[in-house]
Amino acid sequence: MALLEVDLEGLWLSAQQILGAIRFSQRRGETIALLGPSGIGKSTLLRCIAGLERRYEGHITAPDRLSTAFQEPTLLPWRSAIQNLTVTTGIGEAEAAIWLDRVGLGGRHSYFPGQLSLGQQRRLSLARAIAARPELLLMDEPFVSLDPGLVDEMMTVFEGLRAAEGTTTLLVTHAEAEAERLADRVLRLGGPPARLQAEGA
Amino acid sequence: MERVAAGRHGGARSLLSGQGPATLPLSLCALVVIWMLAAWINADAELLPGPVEVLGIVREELASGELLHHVAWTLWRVVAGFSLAMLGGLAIGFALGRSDTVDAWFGPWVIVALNVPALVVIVLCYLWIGLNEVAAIAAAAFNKTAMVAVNIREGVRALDPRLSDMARVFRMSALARLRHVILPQLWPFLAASTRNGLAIIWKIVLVVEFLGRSNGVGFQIHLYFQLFEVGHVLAYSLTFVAVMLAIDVALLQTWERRTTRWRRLSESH
Repeated sequence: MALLEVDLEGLWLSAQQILGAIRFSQRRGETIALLGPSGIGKSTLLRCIAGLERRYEGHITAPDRLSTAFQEPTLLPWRSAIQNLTVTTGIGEAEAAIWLDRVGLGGRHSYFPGQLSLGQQRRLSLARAIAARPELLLMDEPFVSLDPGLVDEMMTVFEGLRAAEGTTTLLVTHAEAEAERLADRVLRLGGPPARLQAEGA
Repeated sequence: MERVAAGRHGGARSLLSGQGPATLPLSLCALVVIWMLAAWINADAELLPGPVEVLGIVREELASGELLHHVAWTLWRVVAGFSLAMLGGLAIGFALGRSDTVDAWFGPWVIVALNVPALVVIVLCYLWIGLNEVAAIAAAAFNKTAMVAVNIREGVRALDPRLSDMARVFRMSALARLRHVILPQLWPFLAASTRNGLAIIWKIVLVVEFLGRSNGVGFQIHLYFQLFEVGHVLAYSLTFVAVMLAIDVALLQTWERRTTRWRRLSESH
């Protein structure tokens, strides 16, 4: 039984077609990468799956417990690093402290997001997404505009967490290498409007 | 984050923000000296008593208990009217900011309310509700509600949709959203409303008391106006000015320092 079932006919916003026909399903424990050029509507597709965009034609069956790690870390700037974990995911302080350790933010519990570098904010955002123990993790270009060394470091962090938690992940990216390295299956999107192309291994 | 920072203009300005630590006392001393000079030139203690005489009256009234009694009444009306105005304004501002339809229909009402003179509201409240405490506080609150609503509407419109999406995806409870996502973004607008609100509402309360109450600073001013006692009028009004300034410094500025700590730290980074 698939965890995620996407059967889209299309999405039109103010008379413009953003998404075309997209059909795929995802099994529990699987990591799928949606690969395609920037600006093609990948993020919109994720918003549909997350339930933030409902004006599409078709059906999406997604689990209720979702979490997101987006390009923008979207942290709460007025809450400390550790509160950003506890307040959004509902976990306790002790557990949150462990999560901070796991993403290399061990000494930074009381730092506000504005005091962290972009790479650190992204790691905090990733920790938050996985700490929420989602059935499905949606990631939107989580490694874009970081130094190559940092990208590798973050992917390693992610792989470690995913292995430990068995998180089912749907990753949106424009980088071929990222998709190949992290995903069990790569779905290519062409367009616009975004359409599914031939499936890779 | 830019959106949040854009709300700042509403926050920081303080009644007592000077340049250096010495500027404020010097400036106030200069004011007192000018007053003393004017009283000395005028040489008519009935028309313009000097600061020393007024201070003497304050001391007398304080000793008799009169001053505290009336200041307490006025302060209660300020607090009650202010709280009602903030709650009402918050609710109305939220509704207006959230929905364009609501704003299109009821936004103009707020503009009308904003432009009704305080005096008219006070008189109407006394006529319709009666010469009682409910009317007094309703009048004070009504005069301020529209202003708070307009302010909060701007704040609600400026809420970051990305953070709202995040809160929805993570299934944050309504209470957690309000506390951790929405209110911190509204804080600069709330701070501006609080500041302007306190400054305006106590002046309205004085008029309310002047016209239809038998206690409070406004009532005393009415009384001594009829007795042509300028010294007492000054003593009561200046005491209340001092009380309001003390509230500004002691409560508002401390509160503001606490709630904007994250911003200062983030900026200095």
